[in-house]
Amino acid sequence: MKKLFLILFSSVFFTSAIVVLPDQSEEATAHIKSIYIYNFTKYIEWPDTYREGNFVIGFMGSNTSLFNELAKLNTKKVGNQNIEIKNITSVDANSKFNIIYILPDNSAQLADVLSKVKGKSTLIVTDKPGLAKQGSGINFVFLENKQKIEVNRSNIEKYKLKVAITLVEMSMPVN
Amino acid sequence: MKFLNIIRTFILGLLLLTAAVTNAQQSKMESAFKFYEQNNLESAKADINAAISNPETAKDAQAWQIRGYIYKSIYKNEKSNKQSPARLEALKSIKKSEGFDTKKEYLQLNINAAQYLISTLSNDAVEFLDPVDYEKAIELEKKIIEYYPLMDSSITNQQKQEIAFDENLGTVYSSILDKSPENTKFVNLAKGIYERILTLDPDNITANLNMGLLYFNRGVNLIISSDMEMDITKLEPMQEKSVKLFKESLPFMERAYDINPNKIVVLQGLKGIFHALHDEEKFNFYQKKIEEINKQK
Repeated sequence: MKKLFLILFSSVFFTSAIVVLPDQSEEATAHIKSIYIYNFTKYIEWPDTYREGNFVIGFMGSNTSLFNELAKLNTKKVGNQNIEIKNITSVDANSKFNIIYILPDNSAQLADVLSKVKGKSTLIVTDKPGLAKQGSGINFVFLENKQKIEVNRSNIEKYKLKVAITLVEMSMPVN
Repeated sequence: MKFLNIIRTFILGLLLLTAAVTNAQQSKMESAFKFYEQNNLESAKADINAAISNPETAKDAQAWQIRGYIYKSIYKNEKSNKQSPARLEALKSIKKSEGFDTKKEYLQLNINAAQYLISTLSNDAVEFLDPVDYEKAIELEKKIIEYYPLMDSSITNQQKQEIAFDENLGTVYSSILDKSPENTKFVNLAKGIYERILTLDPDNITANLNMGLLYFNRGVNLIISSDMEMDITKLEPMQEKSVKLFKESLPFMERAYDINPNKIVVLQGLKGIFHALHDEEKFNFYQKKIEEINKQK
């Protein structure tokens, strides 16, 4: 009987599997910044002349994840204004922006942008330590692994913008 | 005297009857085997079940082995049935045979049958490993664990098999979580799986990596699934939660890095965590390592 029971055993056991990492951390950071920027539209008041036409946000720099996240705001409104995100490389004296967001790599353009928006009602948002002291109204900073903001109230009000106290209270002291 | 003769006759009769019954059961076993050889499996099944139902052969290692092989053949005829009761009946019989085989006369044949049957269980479990049928895979794996010692007494090998299954099951859970990241049931199932693997094998790179990814992905998903219109006052607590998850992810990912510092997916994981924690120095370190490894390819 034993002779009959010759079996060929083919071992087809499980092999190890690895999950592929979804590279979403950039998207997450970008999403937080976009939430902040949308909040700026709620906690800052623009003069009447800036409440007509589209609500224009200038995006100065190259960061695809961040631009794509901000572009989602294109479907939203500020009051009756449609939000419009514009990718820009510079600002000319005739342009009209509600917000200009200058990315870290373009921080050197801050002085030029400030000179171009003089007398206008544009909120300048930057993303590099120290820039709230150099003229920007709101500066993104990291603290305790979290994305936070510095609000330089006088820099904001200089442009005839009104800032809600909640936004100031939620921000870090300017360094 | 007459009474004694009656007793003697009765005892003799009883002995003869017992012998006849024993022979009958032996012949049932033999006929079962003959039917098995002729591939008459229905008759083989009837006779072998009669043999093992009798106390004389109920503890006969050979009878149970024959039964195991008969049911194995029945299973082979219905192989498309991944939940075939005949396969389990065969394994149960082989286990019985192994238990009664004190002299190890039937050992190798039992091992051979178990190897075949367990390998088919394993193949079927692999086919069930998807988000729909994974529970059937778990049921088959339970059977593999139960019967594995029949074919291999090495505890290390059995653990390797269990770990490999768990790794694959973890991948199924992860694919479910990709679609619904905060599904608590699957978060807990995945965590349980990886914890079990790491208890058996703390240096398991896949489990360390996947456990790290489990926390990391939850942290990321918590952020990216949040409403763009979320009020600024809620941003801080949301970030608190996600940072906690990123920090929970880190030791697992760092352990995976210690085990294999050149594994791209681990380096990408660490790069992602440090990006999320806004640690530029460490982010750049892992980014540079990835670039170096990619250059060498």
